[in-house]
Amino acid sequence: MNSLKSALRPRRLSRRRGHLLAGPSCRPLHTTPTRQDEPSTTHFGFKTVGTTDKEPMVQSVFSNVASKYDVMNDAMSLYTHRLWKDDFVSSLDPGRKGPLNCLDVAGGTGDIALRILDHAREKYADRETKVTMVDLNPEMLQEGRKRFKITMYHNTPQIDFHVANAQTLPEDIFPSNSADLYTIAFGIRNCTSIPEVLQSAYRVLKPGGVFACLEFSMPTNPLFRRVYDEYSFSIIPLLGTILASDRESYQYLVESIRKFPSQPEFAQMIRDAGFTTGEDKDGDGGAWRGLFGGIASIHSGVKVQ
Amino acid sequence: MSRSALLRQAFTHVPSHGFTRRALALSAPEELSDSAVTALFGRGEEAEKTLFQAWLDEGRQDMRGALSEDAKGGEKEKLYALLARRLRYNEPALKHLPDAFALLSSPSFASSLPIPLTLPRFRLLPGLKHVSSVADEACWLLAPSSGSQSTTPTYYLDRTRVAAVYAAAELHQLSAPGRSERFLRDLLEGTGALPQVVGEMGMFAEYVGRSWAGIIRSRGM
Repeated sequence: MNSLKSALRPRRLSRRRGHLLAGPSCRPLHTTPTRQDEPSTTHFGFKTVGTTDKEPMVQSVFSNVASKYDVMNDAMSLYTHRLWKDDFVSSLDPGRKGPLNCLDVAGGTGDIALRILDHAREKYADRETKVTMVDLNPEMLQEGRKRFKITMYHNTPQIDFHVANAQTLPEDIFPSNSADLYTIAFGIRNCTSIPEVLQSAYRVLKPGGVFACLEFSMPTNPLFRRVYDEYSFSIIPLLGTILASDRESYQYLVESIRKFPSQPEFAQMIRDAGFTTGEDKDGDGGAWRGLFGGIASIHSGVKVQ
Repeated sequence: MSRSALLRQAFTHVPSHGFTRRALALSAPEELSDSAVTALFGRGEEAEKTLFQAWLDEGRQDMRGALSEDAKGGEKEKLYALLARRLRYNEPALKHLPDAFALLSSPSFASSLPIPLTLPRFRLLPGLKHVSSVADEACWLLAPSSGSQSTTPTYYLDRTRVAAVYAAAELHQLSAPGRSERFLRDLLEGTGALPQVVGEMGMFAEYVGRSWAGIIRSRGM
């Protein structure tokens, strides 16, 4: 997720800048089809921007928040993002059936990559599972490198870092049918074109490989949703101002969550890319599994051929 | 390949592997990883329950074939043919059924919190749901229009009788597979007069009730 963030650094950032829990190795959200002579547009929070503008804007956001990324995530989510990430990785259970070749896109500060490697090592004594971290933003990826330097994985074949766009992963570095597991956590909503990210994921995964995405969504309970809205629009930007002196980046975070497709819509996008998903419902065996009443959701799909 | 196609393919592995994650893993041309099985069918035993539930659903669909086989007989013969076909559907997976039913009745509590919460309880409902859905399917296939009479006592009585007969026959099948169809026929014969017995019991209850009402009145109460 961090890597995604890093990948989205902007040259100009109009009113709103980056945000937390965003990952970044892609150009920004889905595009709106337009007439041929008009430039296509996409969302940057609640703003409509040109598709070519979003990537640098998101890049800028993540460049701004890179150094305070983890602290702000803890503050904004009241530490719950750690529980979500633990749940995300433990549900994937890497290492159970042998070593995996994992691709952690929008990997940023390495939260997911580190959990994958730790899970495989601690639970299955697996030191062969490998994670390739990808992020569009070099600053975020640098934070990830720094973090890995204090771990046993530093300078081992188990971890690798690449700056790349999630929408167009280069074939020479990321060959087709090469990965067992593709993870993207809090990153895909920052991409310009979600379908392109999904197609790219489908290409790099081996037959039988798993696409897993942890992303914010909307609570399903109307009352809880109201409370969550109040918290999101009142408290989170305020925390951004106090802890990071950057209200706009955190305002963007909240807005981008509201613009992200609903759980059923995103599940359909995953299927449209060619993946097989669980039943079109929330929960075990479903196409997604809501966490904390739907604040975040784990979506998954399998490349079955 | 869709999820439902994978499940149908997994049915072919049930006789050798049971209702297990292994059977699900073998459902794709390239064996699915454990993560893939989790992603498509659920975590841990939830995936096995998904497979078993889909297998039960398929069994109900399969009952329709009995009508084309024995379309000539009367209603009783057709009912026998429907339930016997459902019992035959069990045969390839018979040795795995006790475990599968135990699994279906085992604790299951999904929390949205990432905390492993499991409430210890034994649930009868899945087993009752299974036999009642078989009975409902059989009654519906015999008289599709009866669905519109869903408020009459006969509607529920018929289904209760068929569900009880099928439950007994299926339990018998687990211990004596060779005699299950004969046992089913005997049960159907024996319960054929059930509606009449229930009616007579109602008359008797009414008679006793009136008697007690008379006694109470004669006492000046």
